[in-house]
Amino acid sequence: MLLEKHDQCNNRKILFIATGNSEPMTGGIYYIKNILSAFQKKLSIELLLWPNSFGQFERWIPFIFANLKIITTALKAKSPFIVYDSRFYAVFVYLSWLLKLLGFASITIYQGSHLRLAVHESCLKKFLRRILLSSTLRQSKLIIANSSITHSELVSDFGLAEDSISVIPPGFQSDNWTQPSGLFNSTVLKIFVPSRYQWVKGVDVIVNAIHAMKCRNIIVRIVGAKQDNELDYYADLKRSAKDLPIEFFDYKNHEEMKNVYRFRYHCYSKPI
Amino acid sequence: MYIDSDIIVIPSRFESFGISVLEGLWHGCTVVCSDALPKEIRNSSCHIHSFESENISDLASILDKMAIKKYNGDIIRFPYPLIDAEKWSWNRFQNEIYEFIINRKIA
Repeated sequence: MLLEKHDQCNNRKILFIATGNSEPMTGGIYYIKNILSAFQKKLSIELLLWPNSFGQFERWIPFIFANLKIITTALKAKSPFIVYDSRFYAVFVYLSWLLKLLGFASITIYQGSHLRLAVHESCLKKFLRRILLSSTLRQSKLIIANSSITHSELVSDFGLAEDSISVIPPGFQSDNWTQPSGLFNSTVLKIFVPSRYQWVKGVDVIVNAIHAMKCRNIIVRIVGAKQDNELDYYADLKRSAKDLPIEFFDYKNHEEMKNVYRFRYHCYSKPI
Repeated sequence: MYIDSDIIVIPSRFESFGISVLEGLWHGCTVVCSDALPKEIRNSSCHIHSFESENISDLASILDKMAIKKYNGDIIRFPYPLIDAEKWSWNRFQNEIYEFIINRKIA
């Protein structure tokens, strides 16, 4: 998470807009909501949150429409306080520079005198995302990482000084979860792997570990989302787990896991 | 799944945070995760066992121990949350972030 402060908050109408990202729980909407709550304690702030998190599931069309709505809402409100996804932030910055270069200096798309919050995904391996994030980083006065891993990544990948980044881990939202229940009497060990079917998530590691285990009083259930670009990986996993006590579930066909994601992807569409 | 499981395994090669660990702990499950997860998460409870990322025998050994414990009737899964509620509250986050921003007094 990047956080930039150009100006002290005042008591004018302040509009916050969160476009969310692929990690709404740890890097997105919950961050935004709670940062805003922190300031609400001390300052008079009007708040609107409109995350686009559901766009991740339904892909690009809802994503685009959600962001268009955010942008038009911000423009109408003439917001002095805007929160958005770092990718959009960078687009605003670059577009402003381009317009100035073309002689349209009177058109202001992004205004540097406001308090801005930008939330970004930490796992930014792709070239384009790295370019977009760089522009946000360069202009940031304060940088907060959600974990030591994100901290290290920002230091190694972007050459930032270690002491220029602070680590503030997020909280955990337990309201929507069922209370833990009693103990099991069974002698079978039930193992749950909540994961996406991706190499980086190491699902093959657990499958191979089950192969290597001596005990067989186990049931393993893996629930995750199949990734379009790693279907071969998923097929290999299923093949290698053929004779093992492993069940694979796709979260889209699994009601409980769909609820898990719903809990994470809260949508705040009215003022808090 | 969380309710109907003894342990949660997070075998990731990379994880910027690892919210599933907290979800598992909240449900009273023992957690086994790779050391690719951030230390803030791995050190957050004595019910978390970490293994060297990608080390299959290390993970298999931990799981075998769990399976033996389960077979012997030892407690692996608890009927109450195993996370420090205050440490992982959003109130704590709000206070930290507010103090951080205000105290830095960026011009």
